[in-house]
Amino acid sequence: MRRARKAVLRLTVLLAAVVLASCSGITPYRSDLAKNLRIEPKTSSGSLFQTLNAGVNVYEVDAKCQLVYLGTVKLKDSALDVGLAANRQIYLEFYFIKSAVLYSSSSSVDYGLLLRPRPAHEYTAEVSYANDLYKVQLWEKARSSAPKRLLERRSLQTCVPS
Amino acid sequence: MNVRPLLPALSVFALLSACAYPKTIGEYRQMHQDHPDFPGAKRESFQIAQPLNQVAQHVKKKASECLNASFRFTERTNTSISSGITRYQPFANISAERAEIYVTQSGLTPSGKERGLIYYIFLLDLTPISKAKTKAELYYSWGEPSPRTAKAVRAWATGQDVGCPNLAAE
Repeated sequence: MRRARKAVLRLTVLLAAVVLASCSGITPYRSDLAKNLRIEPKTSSGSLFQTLNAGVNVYEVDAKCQLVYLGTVKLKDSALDVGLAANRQIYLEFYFIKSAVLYSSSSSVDYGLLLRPRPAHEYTAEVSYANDLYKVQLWEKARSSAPKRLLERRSLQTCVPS
Repeated sequence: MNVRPLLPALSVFALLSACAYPKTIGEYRQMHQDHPDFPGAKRESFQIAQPLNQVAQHVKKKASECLNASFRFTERTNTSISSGITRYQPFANISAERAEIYVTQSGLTPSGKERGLIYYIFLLDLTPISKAKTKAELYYSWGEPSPRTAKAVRAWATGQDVGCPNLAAE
């Protein structure tokens, strides 16, 4: 009897989690591709009374320059690796959501960039948010140990339909 | 009503309570020069050891990257709800003799229709001191995001990359 109750409780919690996840509209970005993008976040809300949620929405850009949402990577304090399809146009939309703890107020800002990952190359995104200044820098490096180079930001407006 | 997006404009309005509202960037500059001690008015001058065009082009590039933004807001109280879009736009006029880079703020309806008023919230004037030196003057007013923007622009002008100011944060 006790075991059955526990099972029901677990199932309820699981169902609640599934419902909440589907309601939030956020799909975690998952990929079986080789990890070619390392994201190194360094973020701080700057106040005990505010929280900062940071993440990156990953989109594929189709031939008409329209975005196809692939998922979201939530950024915590530690670096993480993700796999992006090579030779495909990808749009990375970094976002920072700042919320007050004691009252209902929040603001968000995002910074997007286009990337066409090259085969046999690795990318590093350095992401920082401090004192209400944010910075995203994307570096590219060939796997054959060439020095890394800072990529110029390409905004979505630079996309040319094919 | 959500007052936060209007704070810089309101501070300018306070600054100008007895004068005409600046309708051009020239009037905004004149307002600051005529009332330098008015509460809320900020003016900073500094020199940069780089040619005018180099400084201006770099700040212009960073401004178009960071200061061209729109934010939706919704504010609910017990009795009302208001929403809309706050839009920031950078502009740059660069010549061999001088450069001006400024930012406007305007309010849009939730559907994106202009509400009519455009406020100047920030101005950077650049003039050459010599071939290799530039004088910079910043004009802005109390109320975020103007001071935060000034901090970033000052850093860009001196060659530092501090990233972009969050124009939406309180």
